[in-house]
Amino acid sequence: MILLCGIPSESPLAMVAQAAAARGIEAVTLNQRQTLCTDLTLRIDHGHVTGWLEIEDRGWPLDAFEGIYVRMMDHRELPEIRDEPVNARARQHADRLHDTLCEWLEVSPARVVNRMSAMGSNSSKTYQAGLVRHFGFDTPETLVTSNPAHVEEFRARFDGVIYKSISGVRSIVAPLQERDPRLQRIRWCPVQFQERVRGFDVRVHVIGQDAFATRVHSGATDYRYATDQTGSAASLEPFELSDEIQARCVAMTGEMGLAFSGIDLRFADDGRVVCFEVNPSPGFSYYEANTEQPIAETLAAYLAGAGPELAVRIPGGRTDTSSALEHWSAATAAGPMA
Amino acid sequence: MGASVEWLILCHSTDAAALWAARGLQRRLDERVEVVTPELLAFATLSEHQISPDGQLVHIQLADGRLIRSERLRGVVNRIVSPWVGHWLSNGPGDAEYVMAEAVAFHLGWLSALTVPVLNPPSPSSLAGAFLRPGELRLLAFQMGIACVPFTRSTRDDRGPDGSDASWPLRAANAVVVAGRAFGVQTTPSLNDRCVRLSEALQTPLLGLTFRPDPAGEPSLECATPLPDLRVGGEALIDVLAGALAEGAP
Repeated sequence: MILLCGIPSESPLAMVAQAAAARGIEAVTLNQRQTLCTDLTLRIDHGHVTGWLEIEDRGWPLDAFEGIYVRMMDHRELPEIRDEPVNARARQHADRLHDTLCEWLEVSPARVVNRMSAMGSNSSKTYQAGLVRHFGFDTPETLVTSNPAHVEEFRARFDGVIYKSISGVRSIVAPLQERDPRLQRIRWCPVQFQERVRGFDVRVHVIGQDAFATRVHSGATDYRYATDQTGSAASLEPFELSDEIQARCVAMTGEMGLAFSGIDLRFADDGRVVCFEVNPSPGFSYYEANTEQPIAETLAAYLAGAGPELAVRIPGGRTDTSSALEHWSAATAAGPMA
Repeated sequence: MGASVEWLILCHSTDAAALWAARGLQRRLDERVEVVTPELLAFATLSEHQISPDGQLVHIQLADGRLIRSERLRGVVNRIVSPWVGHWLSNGPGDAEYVMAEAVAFHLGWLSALTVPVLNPPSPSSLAGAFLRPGELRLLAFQMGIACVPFTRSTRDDRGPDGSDASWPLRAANAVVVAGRAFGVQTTPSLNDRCVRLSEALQTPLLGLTFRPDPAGEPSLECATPLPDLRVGGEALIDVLAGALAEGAP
């Protein structure tokens, strides 16, 4: 039995639920929009994790779940909660449920996709860039600075420069225009600038040891906003990765503690394979809908126990890259993944 | 341009334990030991982090003239919980939250890029080091052979956020791990060794642990922090801390 946590109508969760049903996998949905009729108890004693989940009039011991897919929104922003006062019963119950759930997800022996502790690296792109480089991927030359003159010097070195947030907040990629008067404002808040890498984009979804690569055709700087930036939507098609690149993607995902990732690569015109980001909660539905790659089906099967579990545990949330190179080298030597 | 900082103590201005440690380190290390607060970082005249095929460089020019340069640093004691963004609050919550997220991301990035000893290295869950939820901590500690206070959390009761059994005695004992050595009171040598192993598993060389006696009087772990009160270890702790900073420093 697997547990799906989130909002049932949200596309990725809905697609995994549908895929589970099609494969005959029993799935329970913890609906974030109905927290008041959901109860959760967790107990940890002498190394044993026990507890009970109750949704409306049904209940399950926590060890009944062999896989858990987490696609949760910030519950404080849900329509049922956001206007409630701090001491309202609905808000307090939702807070306690989500606290207990997050605690359980860290200690559960089930296949959790993904544990909260593993999802933090994406909160700092410069931090994640340091991790990514350990797995043999290039990262774009990057300058985070509060000095406008240094940006001009950086721009002069490249055929175009883009800027984007360092964190995951307001993260839209945009080209830096000549003589942008807003450049002076960076004195108050350092901004991230990167060389513009010419080439084509590939999104790789890794699930355990499986990888699905999708090539993106678009002239936009940020293809997610292609319609706004160029007037036409991006087009997508399945893409074949080399065995080595696939092995690196699989190894990097597991070493970052992730069972499921969305890796943004650009195959540069100069031959580099540049990694921009490893997304720990990828909205894969857009890619599956456009390519028919069986991402949801593979994810549902993984949750139910298919294939090996490669995600390492990273207590405290800090990825250890000391052996990363050895790991992906070994993975590459072992040949293509099944 | 001022002198480059060699030994850096990053801490909040109210962090008495860090300020005490800074004075001790100034006595042990001949070179410059400088205290820098989040407020000083917020008003730096230059904040810069470069990533290139040749490596990573960090330059931070403070308003008081001091310069933090990654290639000149020799060691860092990092106890920053949160960047300071007070000067952005008047812009409204949206901008302030954005700037806070950016500042956390910036500090996580540059502190992780340093190749000198950083005690504690930041993690995505906490700039000051590893952050563990209470239940996760107790499960990991149990695997290290440390007895722990039972943990319960439920939507059906209003137990406190640490999930501890309220019937247990409240008397607490603290231990501090610094760079592989445990200091503290009422802990045995074998328990000290286990605390060190926990610190290593968490990649958190500065770790504070709080124990409560179980009904038989044996110490059981209740909580841990990457911001221990270093004063628990006295001058011997400063010796170990100075050694850990100097070891591996260029």
